[in-house]
Amino acid sequence: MKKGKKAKPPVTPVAKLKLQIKALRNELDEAQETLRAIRYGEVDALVVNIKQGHQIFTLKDADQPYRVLVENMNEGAVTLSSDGTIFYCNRRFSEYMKLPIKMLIGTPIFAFIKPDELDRFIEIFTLHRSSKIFSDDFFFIFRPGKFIPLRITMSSTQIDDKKGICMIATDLTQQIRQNEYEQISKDLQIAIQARDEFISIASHELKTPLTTLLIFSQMQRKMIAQNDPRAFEEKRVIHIAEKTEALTSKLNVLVEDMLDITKLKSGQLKLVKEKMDLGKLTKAVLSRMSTIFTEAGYEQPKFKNTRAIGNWDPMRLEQVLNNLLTNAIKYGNQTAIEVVVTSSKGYARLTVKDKGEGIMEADQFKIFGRFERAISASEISGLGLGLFISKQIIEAHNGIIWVYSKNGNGSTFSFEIPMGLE
Amino acid sequence: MKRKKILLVEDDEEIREALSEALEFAGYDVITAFNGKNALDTLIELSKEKRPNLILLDFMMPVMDGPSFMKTIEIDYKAIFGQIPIILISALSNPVLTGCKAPAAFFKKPMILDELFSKIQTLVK
Repeated sequence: MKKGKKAKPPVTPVAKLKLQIKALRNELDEAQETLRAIRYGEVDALVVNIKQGHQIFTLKDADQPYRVLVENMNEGAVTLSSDGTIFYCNRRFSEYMKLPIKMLIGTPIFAFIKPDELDRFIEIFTLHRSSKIFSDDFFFIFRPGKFIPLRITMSSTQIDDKKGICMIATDLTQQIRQNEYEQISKDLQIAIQARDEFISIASHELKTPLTTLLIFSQMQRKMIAQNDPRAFEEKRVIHIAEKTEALTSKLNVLVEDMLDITKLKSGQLKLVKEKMDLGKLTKAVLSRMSTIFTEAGYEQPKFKNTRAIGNWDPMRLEQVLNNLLTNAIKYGNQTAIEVVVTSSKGYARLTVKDKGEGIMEADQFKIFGRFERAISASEISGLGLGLFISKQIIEAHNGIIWVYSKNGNGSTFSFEIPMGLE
Repeated sequence: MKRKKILLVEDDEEIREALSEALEFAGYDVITAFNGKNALDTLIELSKEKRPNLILLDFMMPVMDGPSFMKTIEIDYKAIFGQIPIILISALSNPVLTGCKAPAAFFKKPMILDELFSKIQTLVK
């Protein structure tokens, strides 16, 4: 036995395995680094030791431009097996999915499709996997509840002698956002146009009574300045006073309508409800409007009344009644107007029927809209807000308002509101 | 001196009545019509010596509005009524007039009567 040399302690199986693992990990790291370098085009050639000795495989001239292209392209690129498993994907697709490439490889593509679009995706995928090319838009899941819209184009290909699919994915987020902006912009333009039209009609309607008032005042001033005795004639002065009162009331109604619109727009319409009889209110409104009916060339409306007690806002319902009756006067062509109040099963119904020109079917849906009128602004004066306001008031009472009309055969406007007494 | 005649075409009854009185006060004979078609019918019915020296025409009216009336005059009745000056009045902020020649004057409602009377005086001379 030689002296001075210590015998090596025997290598335990565990330590041996640890060493092997370490060596394997190094090999794996090296292989991964090589793959990464190949993927990013950093490798020009590979020297591989095979049975026949070392061989050089040049990458630069053959595949490198394609790899660089695929890795740097702005679209996601994925190769799939015919059953939808991801074989390979580029960096962009991994960015879309917010997952590293190694986690994506081997996962079925279906796992990333938004559940409600999955059936459509599978159907298209199955149908088209053997055909040449197809393209469609899908939402892909990149995190639970988070989606990215992608336009995918798929084409069948051969991967290692097997059928596979090449998929290109384009992010549509910007395009969708732009479409949304365009839609918002269109909606805004329509709203601005409607607002401008409304301002134009409103100012026209406000200026009409103002014109008469200003003529009256200028005339009175002129007559007094010229010592014209007509300026003080009792009959004339009373006439001017009455007209002034009527015109200022008209102006007030117009301004109130405009303010109501602002309130309705901002959801500030508050009802002041009390126990009241709709029939009684209707009778009172008809009585107040009797002169208006006569002056407009109408007989007094035929009125059928049943007691209809409910918990409603009398001021607002009076506004609805005024609107419906004023419309009947405007469009009734001096035919008979009929007003009916009924009640049944916890609901009250009011109907105003005229036999005038009626409303074309296409316009019947529009007339309850803001600033809508079935005929052009130059035909009939008013802001065109009456029915819109009425609809809002009836809906605030949890009721409904509707019209039945045939062009040339008159219109029947009705509303039904729950009594709300319980 | 013979009083000059004005045809006032206005659909709003109150304005028609008040403006009519004002024009009479200013020394004119006033014929009224409530829309363009009514004005045209009135003009056609009038004998030559009763024809107005000026037309005061509202822009926005039912049945036939001011511009349509002007176009009809220009196309169908130019020889008979084409020489009558027209003053257009409107409560619209920016009335658009297309397809017919410009009126002799335009006034925005509410009008200042002195300015309107002064313009009428110049035009009917």
